Amino acid sequence: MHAFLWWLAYTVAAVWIQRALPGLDAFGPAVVILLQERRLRQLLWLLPCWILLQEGMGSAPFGTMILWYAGLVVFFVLGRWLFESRNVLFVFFIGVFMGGWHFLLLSGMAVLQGLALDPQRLAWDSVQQAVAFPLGWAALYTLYVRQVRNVVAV
Amino acid sequence: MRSKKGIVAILLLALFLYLSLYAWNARTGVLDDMASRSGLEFVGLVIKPGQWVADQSVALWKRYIYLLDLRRENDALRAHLDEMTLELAQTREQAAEVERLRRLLSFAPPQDWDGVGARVVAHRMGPNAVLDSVTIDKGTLGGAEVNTPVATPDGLVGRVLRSGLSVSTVLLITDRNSKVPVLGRTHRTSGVLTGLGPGRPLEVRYVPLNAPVDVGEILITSGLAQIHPKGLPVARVVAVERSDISLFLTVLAEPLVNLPDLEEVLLLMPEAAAAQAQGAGTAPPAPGPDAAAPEAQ
Repeated sequence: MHAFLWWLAYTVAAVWIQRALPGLDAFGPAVVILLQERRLRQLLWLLPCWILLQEGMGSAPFGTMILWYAGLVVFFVLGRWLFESRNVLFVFFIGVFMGGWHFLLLSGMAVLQGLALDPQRLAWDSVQQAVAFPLGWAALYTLYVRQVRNVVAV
Repeated sequence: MRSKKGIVAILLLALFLYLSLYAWNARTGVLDDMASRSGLEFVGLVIKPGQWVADQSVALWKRYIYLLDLRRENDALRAHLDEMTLELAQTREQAAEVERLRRLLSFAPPQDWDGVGARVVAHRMGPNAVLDSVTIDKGTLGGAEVNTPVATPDGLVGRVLRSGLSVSTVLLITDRNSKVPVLGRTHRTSGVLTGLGPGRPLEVRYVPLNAPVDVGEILITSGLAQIHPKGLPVARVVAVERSDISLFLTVLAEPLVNLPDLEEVLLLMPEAAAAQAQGAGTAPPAPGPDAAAPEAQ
């Protein structure tokens, strides 16, 4: 399948996943796969689109999602000094990081933006993020390898 | 060494750019608008047709495939009975929907305000959805501007937080950031109603210790914030406690609307704006103030 069509279809599916599981980020595993596959040109145009999408469907002022994905990319780059990028353990650690990052980032930004958050729900969303990330990555990676890997990047 | 300095320089530059962008947006709101008009709009484009397809598929399944596949081997009477049972269930569902829509249509907005119907298409979506909110299928084209009050015939739901062209996000009254100035319907005691989070009661703040408030009293909007029309029912008082250390009463209340199961809502807007929104081909309006007196006041 052509990469553009693949990612368009995934974006639509991810919106529905996020509708079904409130608070979950369904684009994070896709970012990691693009980094693992070194599809940096695709990442360069997909990431701003996904940031805009997340900011649009969210309820906090603009800015949080830039740091959200920046944190993911930085953790991935730093983690590659220790792990092979497709190592399952590494993906598990990324999931744990995303759970913690979710709690820290949103708590910090809420202070900056003058918002009062529900700590219980924030904690639950963080746990959900940490657990769902490796599962989402595994499912998406399996599909990606079958459908897209050998297609030249657009 | 040079590369380390380079990395630090790049990080500092990125941080500077981010903070500049953040501060510029905080002052102008340009990026928030852009995200609402693109990201939120895309969500509407994806969810609305998908929901329509899902509804149609379920209906098709129930009406034809289910009956044909599962009842083929049964005798004619059994099949007929099942068909009638299914039809009855559908009719009951339709009757319930008609009842809900009739209540929406019979809702009499406060004087000089009009109601435009909207459908809830999603609840919280994505990691950035930190507030208790729902997404509705009306945007600026349908008259939903930021701070437009949202209600049902039972009471206040919240207000529009962000608005795209055809989709909006509504902040619910149960959110901790929601503040609604209210009055007691019986004793006219005023306070500020704020949420304590989903599944928890609402709290009325700044009610003096000697103010009269009864358990069971209905709270209505006072109109002081100039966002909500005066007299809209909001919540029912469920507990009044006197504190030894505070200057104010602890007053807890419950929303009059069943917020987790919202399906349809009304956007309340000044009559001129509502007429303009209806002219743009939106949902039928609720009747004007002459239909029936509002519950409040």
